[in-house]
This record gives sequence, structure tokens and C-alpha cells, in this order.
Amino acid sequence: MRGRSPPSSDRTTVVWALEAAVAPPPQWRLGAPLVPALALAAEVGTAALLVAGGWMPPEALRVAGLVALHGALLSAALSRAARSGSPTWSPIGPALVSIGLVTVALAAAALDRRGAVAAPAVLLWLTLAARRGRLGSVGVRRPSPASGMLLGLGTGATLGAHMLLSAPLTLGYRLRADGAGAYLAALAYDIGINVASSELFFRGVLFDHMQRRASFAAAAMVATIGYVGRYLLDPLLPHAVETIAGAVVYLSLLSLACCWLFWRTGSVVPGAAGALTFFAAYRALAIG
Amino acid sequence: MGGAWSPPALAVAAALGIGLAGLGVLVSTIDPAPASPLRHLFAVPVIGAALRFGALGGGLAAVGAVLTRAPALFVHLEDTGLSAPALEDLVSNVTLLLGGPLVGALTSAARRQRARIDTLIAVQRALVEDAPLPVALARLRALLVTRWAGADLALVVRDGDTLTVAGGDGVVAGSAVARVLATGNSLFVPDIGGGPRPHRVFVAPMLARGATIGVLALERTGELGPRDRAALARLAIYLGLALENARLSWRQRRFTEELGEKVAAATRHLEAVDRAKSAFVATVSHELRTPLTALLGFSELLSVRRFPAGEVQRLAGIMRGETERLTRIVDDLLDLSRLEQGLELRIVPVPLAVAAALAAAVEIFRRGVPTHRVHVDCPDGPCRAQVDPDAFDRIVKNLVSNAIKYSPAGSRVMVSARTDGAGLTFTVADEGRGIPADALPHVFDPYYRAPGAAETARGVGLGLALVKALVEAHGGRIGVASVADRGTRVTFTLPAAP
Repeated sequence: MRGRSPPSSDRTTVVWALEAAVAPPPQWRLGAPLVPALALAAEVGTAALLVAGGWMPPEALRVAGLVALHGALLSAALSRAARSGSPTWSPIGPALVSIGLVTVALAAAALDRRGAVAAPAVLLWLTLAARRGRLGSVGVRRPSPASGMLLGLGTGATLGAHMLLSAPLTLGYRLRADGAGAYLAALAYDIGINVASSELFFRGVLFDHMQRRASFAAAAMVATIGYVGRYLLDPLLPHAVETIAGAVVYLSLLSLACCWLFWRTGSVVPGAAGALTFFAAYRALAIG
Repeated sequence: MGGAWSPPALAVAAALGIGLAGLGVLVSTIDPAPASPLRHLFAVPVIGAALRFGALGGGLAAVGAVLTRAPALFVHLEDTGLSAPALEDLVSNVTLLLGGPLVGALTSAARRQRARIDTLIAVQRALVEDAPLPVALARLRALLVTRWAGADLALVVRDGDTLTVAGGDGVVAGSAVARVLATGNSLFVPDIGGGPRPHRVFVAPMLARGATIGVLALERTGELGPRDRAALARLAIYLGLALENARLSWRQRRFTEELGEKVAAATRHLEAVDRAKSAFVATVSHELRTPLTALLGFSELLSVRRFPAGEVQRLAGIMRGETERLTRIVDDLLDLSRLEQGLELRIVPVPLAVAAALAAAVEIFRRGVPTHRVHVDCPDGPCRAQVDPDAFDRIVKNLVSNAIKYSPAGSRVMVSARTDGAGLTFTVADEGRGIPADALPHVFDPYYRAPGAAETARGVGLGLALVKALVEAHGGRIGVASVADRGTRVTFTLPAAP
């Protein structure tokens, strides 16, 4: 069915609706690969058995839980990246390496807070994958737009500054006094594991999947509910009502801002920069 | 949409944010107490953001204002509980949270409405000018592209069996546009895939007279929400109606122009006929008066004077000749009148020996017109036509008479007949000055006389018209060819006798 076209000077534009056959959207497949999932289950189960048998302290179970959480988020992101990327690339190996690095970093930090220096190894590993172009479909792209980075840093700084000002006033939290080492250890966790796994999954996987099937508002709402829920389940967050209320407000605003930045730029990096800035402020408070 | 995040807009947003923060510092410094009258100042940046950026801007500014004021309010709540000032402050914050997005939403709605009306007016203007469909579509597309900044847009309209496309080279089978053309239902594709950001596509049918006459397809990277899609669907319907109206209007104009041309042509024809009839009346009057004058003159002479018998016989012969001439003119007029009334000429075809009939018809000219040599050429053997003898005689005499009248003395007139399949073809050729080429198509028209004919010979312009009618009444055909200064050749066919 071809028609005639009027003389036009802008025929460099290709209108997809005219020139491509409509194909059904790909099926929803979120699941992490089976092998990483089994590895995580085995890790948690082993930790539970060892703790129950008295061979390891209860802290081991908390570490295993955290590893399972971050390992699942990272495995899901790598799985999606592999599905959308090169068909010859398997996500199993990178996912297992990520889980291993997270395990090592969190276990080392649990034994001695200086062990947290191992956490950025996870980010380095992901950066290596990104440099090979493996993570493009989950929003890790180069170059990240400078305006997006500025907006992300500005948003994180604004929210963080507000929290630093208001939390002592309203909730009575003070700035942490346990030294720079503890602060840097917490920050290393955020840099290497926390922000990376959250942004890759909640923005690069969940929000991106939703925004390609629904409106921005719906996608941002789903991603924000998941994001806030993930932190509310974090055992490190104090369970005081006012603290949870404050966390819901800040994390919701942070998540919405990250979703908007991802929407505008197509990259998770500006949002990650904003989240990292916010958590840098958060870690300055003596919470938890 | 595209202009909302332009550098000037970002500058305004930054100014509003800085103003909000400055206001927070100012209020907390001067009067940090709950229910301070200064709290109302926060409405200024909130409403400003709502007016400039719509619901999103109003909502963000309201959240910013509330976040600025919330710490002091929470401290007060902890200290004094839900006191009247705290409640008042709380209500102010809730008002900001609700008012900012609401004012922004209303502003956006008003802007959308204005943009919609502007678009409709612009579409109407674009279609006012009379232009072919492809040009009109290209013009419409250019207009809509400026109004949907950052979007790719295509317009497709059915034009008979073909599709006229603006914004592309054609419509691929199975594409979104092809589907909407086939089904008449709008189609939304949330993402075509392959890009870092969703690329949304919406295709809406253009409807007119209950049918899908085309589609409007718009696609862009970014949001294309339900409100946008509803607006596009309405725009597509309007475009369909506007294009259909333009098409009808164009057809009406064409019809009016064609009608005007036909009326003008008919008027010209009627004027020509009127002039011809006036000339005819003058000619006929002249033609009738001449024999009548002769008849009157000779009859008066015969009544007042006595002539010898031989002279009386001569005068009677002249009077008889003039009377026959009058009779021919009147017969021609009556026959023409019958033809103009749509009546057929009365003919009774019978087998007729052509050679004898031709010889008898030309005999009168051989005897009466010694200035011309009239030759008859007939095929050997029996040659018979299925014709009315009187009609055949009139045809031949008319043509030979014309040939003699319009050729110089001493020239030759050739009358020939030959068999041609199931019919007979006759030719009457002279060696006269010929007929001008522009007069040839009209020589068989009633009342028509070629330019200069009146100066050469007498006549009323009926002879050839009647000859043609008589030939056609027999089922034959007649034609004329002429070469300047070489002569004229009239050829006609008649059926042969079985």
C-alpha cells in the first residue's frame, strides 16, 4: 500500500508509524537467572544453619539477608541487560561475581568496619561491565549529560541539606560522632553497593520496563513504591514512626527525582549521583 | 512541551527555587512562629511556578514551600501539641500543597484550550487557499509540526484509490497507519523500542461522513499522555472534516467555474445563431424579393400590354422559372423547419439507376449554364442506389449548383460515383477558389455562409445543411475537403440497392 508524497524538504525524518510493521510488545520477564537465585538461597540457608548451630554469630544472618537483597537486585539488572544486549553474553557469571563481591564486602565490613573498603569493588566490577557496553539497556550509558548530572547532584544536595537541617530539629538526631572512619565505611557501602543496586534495579529495570508500557506517572509510582519499600525493609533503618515517616517523604521525593532524571536523560547515572549525594548527607546523621 | 525546559524556563525555575529558599530563611529569621502572617508570602512562588510551569511546577514549588516550613511546624507541634496557631499553619501548608498543583492544572488546561483553538484556526487558514491535496497536506503538516515541537508527524489521506502522504514516502503494509486506515480505530504504541527513552506513537483516524478518510500519526520521544492523545484524536476528526469541507468547496468552485464556462459558451453560440438568423432573414428577404419583383413586373406587363404569342411564352417561361425558384426556397425553409423541430425528412427509398439519375440531374446545368463543363463519371455496368429519387435529385443539384456558383467560368465540375462495399460513394468536385480552412467545419451548419460567399453568389445558407440532412436520412455520410485555389471536393455515401 504505497501512496504519493507531496514535495517536502524534510524527508530525512522517518516516521515509524508509516514505515514499520507493528509488532507485539515483548513479554514481561523480570526474573533473575536461576543459578544466581540458587546461589543466594544457598547462602542464606547456609548462614541460617550456621547461626542456628551456633557456629556463627546472628550478625551473619543479617549480612546474608543484605547479600540476598543486593544480589537479587543486581542479578535481575544483569539478567535484563543480557536479554536486551548481545545474545552471546550470559549474565550468570557476572551475577555470581557480583554476589561474591557483595558477600565479601559486607562480611568484611561486619567483621571490621574498615572492611567496607571492599564495597567499591562491586561498583568497579559493574563499571567494567558498563565499559564493555553490557549495561546500556539498564540505563548505564556514556556520556551522561552534564545538565542531568548537575540536576541530580542539586536534587540530592537539596534533599540532603534539608534533612540535615530538619532532622535535628524535628527528630532530635544529631550529626554522627563516631569518627570519619565510620562515616566513610557507611559511604563506601552506599557508593559500592547500595546506590548501585537500587538504581540499576528500580530505575534501570523496573521503571524502564514500566515507562515503556505505561505513562511516566504510573511508572514512577511503581518504582517509588518499590524503592521506598526496599528501604523500609532495611534492618538498619530505625523503626520509630517519625523516622519512618521522614524516610518515606525523603525517599519518595528522591525516587521521583531519580525517575524524572532517568526519564529525561535515559541514564541512571544522574539519579545515582543524586542518591549518592543524599546518602552522603544521611550518613552524616547518627541514625541507627 | 518542548519549550517548558528551555534555558529561559530553567532560569525562571532557578529563580523561583532561590526565591523560595530565600523566603524560608527570611521568614525563619524575622518571624518563625507558626501562623505568622509572613507564611502567606510562600503563596507567591508557588502560584508563580504554577502559572509558569503548570501542575508539576506548582506541585514542586508547594512541596518545596512545605518542606521549608515543616521543620519549624513540627518543632512547634512537639512543643505545644495541636494548638490553634499550629493548626492554622498546618492548614496553610495543606492549602499550598493542594493549591499549587490545582492552579497549575487549571493554567495548563487553559493553555491547552487556547493552543487547541489556535491550532484549529490555523488549520482553517491553511485550508482556505485553493491548493491541490498534496500541497494542502504538506502545509498542514508543517503547521502541526510547529505546534507539537519535537514530534515527528505524518498525515495520510485517501484520494480515490491512492494515498496522499505528507511526512513519508508511503504506507507500509502492517504499519500502524495501515492498521488505523483499515480499522478506523486509533492506535497507541507506548514504545517502539530500541532507544534509551520510550518513543511513543499515536495514530488517530480522520473521519468524515462516517468513513475513515485518512489518519494523523504523531510520535515522539517522551510522554504522550491520555490528554495529549485525546487532543490528537479530536484534532484528527477536525482535520478530517476540514479536509472534506475543503475538498467539497474545491469541487463546488470547479463546478461553478465549469458551469460559468459552459454558460458563456452557450451564450456565445446563441449570439452567433442569432446573428446568423438575422443575416438569414435579410438574405431570405432578398432572395424572395428578387423573384417576386420579377413576377410582379412581368405580370403587370402582361396585364397592361398586348404581346405577341412568342413573347408571352418567353415571359411565362421566365415567370415559371422564378416561381420554381421561390418554391425551392420555400421547400428548403420548410424542410429546415422540420429538422429544427426534430422531425425526420420524408423519404421513400427505392432502387434507383444511378447513371440515369445523375445524367438527368446535371442535364439542366449542362443546358442552362454553358459557362461550366459538367462531367459525370459512373462505373460500367448496372449501378443502383436505394434512395428517394427526389431527395437524390436535390442532393446532386444542390451540390452541382454550389460547385458552379463558387468556381470560375470555364472551369470543370466533376460528378462521379463508384461502388464501395455495400454502398455507393459520390463525389462532386470543382476547380474553384476553395473554402477557408476555418470555415470547413461549419459549411453544413444551417444559415452558415463562408466569409466572402455572399459577394460571390446568391444563396441563403440552407443548401448544404439540407444535403447533409438528406444524406444522413438515408444512413449515409458526407464530408468536404478543400484546397485553396485548387477547388473543393464534397463526398457522400448512399446505400446501394440490394
